[in-house]
Amino acid sequence: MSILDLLPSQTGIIVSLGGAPEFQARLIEMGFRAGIKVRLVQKMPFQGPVQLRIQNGMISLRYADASKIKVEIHE
Amino acid sequence: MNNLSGAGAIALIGNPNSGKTALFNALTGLNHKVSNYPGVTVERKTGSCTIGDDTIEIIDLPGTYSLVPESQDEVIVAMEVDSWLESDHAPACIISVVDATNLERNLYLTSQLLDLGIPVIVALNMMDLARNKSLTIDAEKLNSTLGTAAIVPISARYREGIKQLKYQVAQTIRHPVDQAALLTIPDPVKEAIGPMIKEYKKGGNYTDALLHSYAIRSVTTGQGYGNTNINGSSLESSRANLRSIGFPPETLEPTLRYHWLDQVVPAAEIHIETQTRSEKIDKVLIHKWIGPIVFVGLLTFIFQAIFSWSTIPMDWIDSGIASFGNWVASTLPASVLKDLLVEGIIGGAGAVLIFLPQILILIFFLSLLEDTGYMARVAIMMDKIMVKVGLHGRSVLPLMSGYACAIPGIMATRTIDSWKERLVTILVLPLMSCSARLPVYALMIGAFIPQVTIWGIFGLQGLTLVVMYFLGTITALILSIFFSRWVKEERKSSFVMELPPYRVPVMKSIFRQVYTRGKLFVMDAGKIIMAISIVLWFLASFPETEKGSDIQRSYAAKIGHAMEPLIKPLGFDWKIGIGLVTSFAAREVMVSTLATIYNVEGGGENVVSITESLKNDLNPETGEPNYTPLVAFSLMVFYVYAAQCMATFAIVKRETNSWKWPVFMVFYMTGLAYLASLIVYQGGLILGYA
Repeated sequence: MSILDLLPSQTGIIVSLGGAPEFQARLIEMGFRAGIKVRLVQKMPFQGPVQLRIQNGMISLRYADASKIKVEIHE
Repeated sequence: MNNLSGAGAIALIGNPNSGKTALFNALTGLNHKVSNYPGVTVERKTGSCTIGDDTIEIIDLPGTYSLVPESQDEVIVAMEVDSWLESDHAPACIISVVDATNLERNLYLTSQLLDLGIPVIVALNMMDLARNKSLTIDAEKLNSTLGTAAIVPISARYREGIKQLKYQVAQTIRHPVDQAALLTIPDPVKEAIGPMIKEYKKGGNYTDALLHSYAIRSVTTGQGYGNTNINGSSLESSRANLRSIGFPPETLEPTLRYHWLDQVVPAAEIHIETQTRSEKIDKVLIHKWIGPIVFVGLLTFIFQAIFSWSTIPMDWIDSGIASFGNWVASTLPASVLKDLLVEGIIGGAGAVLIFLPQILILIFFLSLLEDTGYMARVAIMMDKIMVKVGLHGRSVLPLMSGYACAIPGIMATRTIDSWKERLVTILVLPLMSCSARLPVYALMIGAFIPQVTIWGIFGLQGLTLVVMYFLGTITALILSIFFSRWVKEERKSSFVMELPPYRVPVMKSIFRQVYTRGKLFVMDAGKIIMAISIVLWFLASFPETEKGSDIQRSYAAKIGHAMEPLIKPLGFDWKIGIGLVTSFAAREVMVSTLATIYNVEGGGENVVSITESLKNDLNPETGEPNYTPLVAFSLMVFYVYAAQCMATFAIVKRETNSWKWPVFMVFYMTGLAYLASLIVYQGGLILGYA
């Protein structure tokens, strides 16, 4: 499932990233990678950017970019 | 080495929002702009710091997440670091500024710095926040596993730990220790990128750590580093080897570094936070419906405040200047010098100085929005709309800075990673009504818009001001749609934006910013206005006729009258015509120009009120007022659009590296201004608003 399928405030564990390789490299630099927990904080309306809590940082990604991050739900 | 001064500089490097600039200020004592918005330091800055009896140079670089840059401000850091390695003036040590509350991600950059062979001291910043979150970090232990020269817990905001940090800097410079390369590269990877490692071994005299760092980075990005030009076939074979063992080469460097960091950083630090205070605030401030309402409400409040809060200080300045002018007029003996002083300089400069309170209020609110962390939220709220018009969420801060001044706004576009979106932002940015237009709007509104309240809450004057700002902003957005169709770029932009936690702004630094900007306005405007007022006074006062000076026959009037055929359709007379010419240097000069002309006309016995003069200026032929609310509107609209600021063109030339764009800017803006004013004035006449 994609990170966008999480409910607001739900936490997932990243399974894989996606998108252009350079973009993935930046995502990893920002702390996104397989096995890392990420919480969906909020989605902006009309498929606007989403806010994600990763470790102690708050990162905002565009809807289309975020949709390529696959997660599984963390119980 | 006992004398630190000869040792070379120290450099501050850290993530955006790691508190780097606050530390720079704490070390240097200069209070520069501290910001809560990612990437506001967009230039290399230097200052000096005293340690004991020695003075040492400190370099502050823009915030970056990585030495592999994405945007122009990050390129500045990467280029600076490259220049250290390629020459022999590397800094004596690097202070890697790290946000203790987000340790692992911040240490990613530190791990890249550790490979450079320059001693690295980690300043573990934001310890105040870390303590609140009950994070305990064993600095000693982290220091030995990372192989840094020292790790010093600090809180730059509250000036904690600065002494210890300075002490460690001195120690490190006096007793440098070799740092071991600690990034562990798994053997299969090392083997796979063997061809690339060989290239760098041949290519130059690099330390082991740097050599491996370069090799990994080359495989990741496909570019050469250091003095080595990489060979395409070694790149391809390294990449193919990696793929065959299941490693995507394009993400090699970050993957390897995080693999290492996961072992080094205590697991307890990598937990995910539960809902924070900032998130709760965000639930409201960027809520679907409440968020935009709050944003629009804030802007309206700010523009209302600009008018209502400034009345009293403006009256003080007004009467202060008038009495000063009158005192000079009555004290000095009659002479040309006295006329110049009273009519030209005091009248001209004073007319602009009056607007200082309004400008300071505007800067105060903009700094406040920035320092609390709110601006970053505005960027994500607006991203969707911004992309629709061909801009980027990151265009919002530069555009809003444009309300204060286009120049810092244009500089701030360096944080936009796509060239196309950056260029379009630069091109439309001067349409954002800057504080230099404020005096012109305020003068026209004050003279011609009645002071009434509509719907019980909105002052008509404030509302008119909002309309002018809105007009510029909406035109900027519409034009971006067209401009972005002309500029071509293949690379699709991305949006990875960090939202800093909300923080209570440090009032001292806000007022410092207000003071700095205010001083800049007075000094810059002062210089230009002084020079132009003097020249103008001569043009308006000479040639003298038998009856003394007659402004109707002056050189200034001749120039103005020559322009009249061109500007008459817009409702402007020769006096405004002169103002249009002089305000090409800077917009606020329009106000001082009118003031000088009226003072010369008034004979210089008293400093005249320019508002009254405008209202009472009658056309000698018809006896009708020369200026009407319609003329005022036409003039304000002209100022919304017209390209009239030399400094802006200079900065656009510098940032776009070509004359093409500033020239284009002058033409499109001036054309737009003329057209819009023509429509307003002629349309107004047709509708019967004479």
